[in-house]
Amino acid sequence: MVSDVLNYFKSFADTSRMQISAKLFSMFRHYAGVDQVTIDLESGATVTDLLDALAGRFNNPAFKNDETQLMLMINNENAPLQTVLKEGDVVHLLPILGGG
Amino acid sequence: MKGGYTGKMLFVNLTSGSIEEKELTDDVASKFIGGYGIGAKVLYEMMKPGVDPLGPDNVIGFITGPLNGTGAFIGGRYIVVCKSPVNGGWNDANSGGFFGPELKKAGYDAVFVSGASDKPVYIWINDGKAEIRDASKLWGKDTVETLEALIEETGERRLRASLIGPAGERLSMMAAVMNEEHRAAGRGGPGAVMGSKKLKAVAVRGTMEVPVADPEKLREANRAIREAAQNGPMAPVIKAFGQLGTGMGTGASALSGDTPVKNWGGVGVVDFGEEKAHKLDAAVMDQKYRTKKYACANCIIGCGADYEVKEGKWPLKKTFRPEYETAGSFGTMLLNDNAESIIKCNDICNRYGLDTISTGCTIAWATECYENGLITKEETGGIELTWGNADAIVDMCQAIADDKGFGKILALGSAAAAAKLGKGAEYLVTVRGIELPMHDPKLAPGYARTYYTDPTPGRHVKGGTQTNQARRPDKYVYEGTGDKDLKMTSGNEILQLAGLCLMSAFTGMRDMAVQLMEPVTGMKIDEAQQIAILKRTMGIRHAFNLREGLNPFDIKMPKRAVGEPPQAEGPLKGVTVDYKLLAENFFEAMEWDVETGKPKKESLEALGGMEAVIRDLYGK
Repeated sequence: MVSDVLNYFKSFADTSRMQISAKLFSMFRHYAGVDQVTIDLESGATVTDLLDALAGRFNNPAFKNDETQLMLMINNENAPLQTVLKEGDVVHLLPILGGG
Repeated sequence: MKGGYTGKMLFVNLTSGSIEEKELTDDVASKFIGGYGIGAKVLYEMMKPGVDPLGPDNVIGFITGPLNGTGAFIGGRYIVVCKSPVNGGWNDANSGGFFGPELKKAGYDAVFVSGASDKPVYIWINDGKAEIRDASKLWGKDTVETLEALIEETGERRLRASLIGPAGERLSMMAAVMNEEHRAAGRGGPGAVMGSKKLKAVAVRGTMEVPVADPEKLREANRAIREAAQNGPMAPVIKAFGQLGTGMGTGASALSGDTPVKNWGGVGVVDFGEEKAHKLDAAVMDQKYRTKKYACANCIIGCGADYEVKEGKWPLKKTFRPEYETAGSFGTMLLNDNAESIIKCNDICNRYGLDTISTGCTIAWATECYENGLITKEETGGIELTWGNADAIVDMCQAIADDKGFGKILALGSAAAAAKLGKGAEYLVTVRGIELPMHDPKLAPGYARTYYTDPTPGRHVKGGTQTNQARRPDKYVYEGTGDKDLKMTSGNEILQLAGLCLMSAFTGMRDMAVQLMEPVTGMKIDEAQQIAILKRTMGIRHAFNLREGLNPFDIKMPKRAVGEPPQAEGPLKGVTVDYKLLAENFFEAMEWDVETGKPKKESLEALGGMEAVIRDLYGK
């Protein structure tokens, strides 16, 4: 957590980094235990990079694996994994379909 | 057949009181497999077109799949078939729990009930012996009370029963056939068909062993399923379903555009929003209400849960976690984020025997009518049907269950209620009188084809290309979808006919049904045979509708569901689904004539087992 805070403040002076807000729903919230997290990434990082970072942060493959029914929205619009993120983006992690 | 079947079907006529056993031949079993495949074959040949769905000539069937009762993992679902009182067409609905396996162990692959009794009765099947018993003391009881009374009367603590609550007795068009308190073969009004026959329940107890062709190979197949579920790429999803159930994604899916919002007229991220979405997340609800895990027969996922609501307006000592479809119908569709009201409505529907999708969506339709001044407070008996009004939603759900006041009109379902009132048709989101389920075709267009042209229309469990389609970049390409649709739908068809739960697909294990069918029955089913089975089992359901004068191309798709006009904002903005082209592509792949709707004669002849269909469609 301390490193998150330091990275957050460092990011204001470092244009090679960016802060991305990830909002977690459904099983992602369940596995993470929180409903929102801010991730520090290199500029030019993609959604895949964000998911890798989340998988590492929460030590759970649900965030990383391409086959886990993952649905993404960036700033309330559907987005593919290859999307390049930019500072201030809000990414929603949702299940691909509700079930039942 | 080497295993999976008892080879016996029971035919009960409630008018004459006759009970007759008939053989399920290997030929029929291999061509139609089980569930609604065998159900359609039997009903097509037993019934004439034009019979009153609520009259004695309708036949209702309770049919197992070959995997039921064999120990095959996730293989506990059975199917109820009949002519639907909602639309006069083919109807099938499936349910989990334990009824299907128990019926098989009691000695029968299926029970078909025709005729109608003068007084309430139930059918009691106990290890190969069947009898019709008086149910006068059960009539009027809710589903939980009925099950308890059946156990007390028979002295069989472990019996299972397929039964109706008061909604079925009152012939509500939304009446479900229930089992084990909270499992429902819900859609299309099968509960009303039971009610019309004065058939309160089919109760079964079985201790006989279901034969399995190769038990060791079945154990191997089960081990492979467990490995896929626990360690395969889909393991996190399966684990989450096991912990949180189907409702884990309700609120979130409203944001993605999967779950419809505000009677299909809203946009999730705009009209529902994150705060409400979180409140409907099963992960949030479970923390407060979950008391125990529930799993159907032989299921290694276990996506159900017991709930308890200790305080508040609607305390409930023992109830059950609302499924995804229920949470959508009573939640997002009504802009309702009050979890306890949804749990209460779920409980009402389970106890009275109502389909939660149709009930919730009918209230959503009435709410939109109310908000637009078409239905008044005087008409509703003072219930203020405004968006998100949890008290009003529970009160109206109870009124429907009690068949009182305005609830008596809404118990007809939204389409029939609109017709009776002579207003509100512009807000209907129904296909052939059935309220659409909680998956938006604008996110996964494959749903549009199945909602539109499956012979059991307006359902979310009927195959199609929608599985994992939501994120595919080519999902809005409408040309050339027929072969893929055919292949995916045939895989889904065999899964359902075999008695597997659709949740088995989430294991990511390919062709699970085929892999289980071989050790259980001895039948090897290749891809060409799967497609032939689909052409028979879908073709005969389709022909059932055609001879009733029902052609899918006559269906008017609800415009909101297919983006006519497209939404102006949100993740699905600009999307219009070309459902007609998807349907035409599928018809061609099925070898069905796009102009007449008829399956082609040469195709039917090549399939075998379709003689009655050929006779009806093409003469002798």
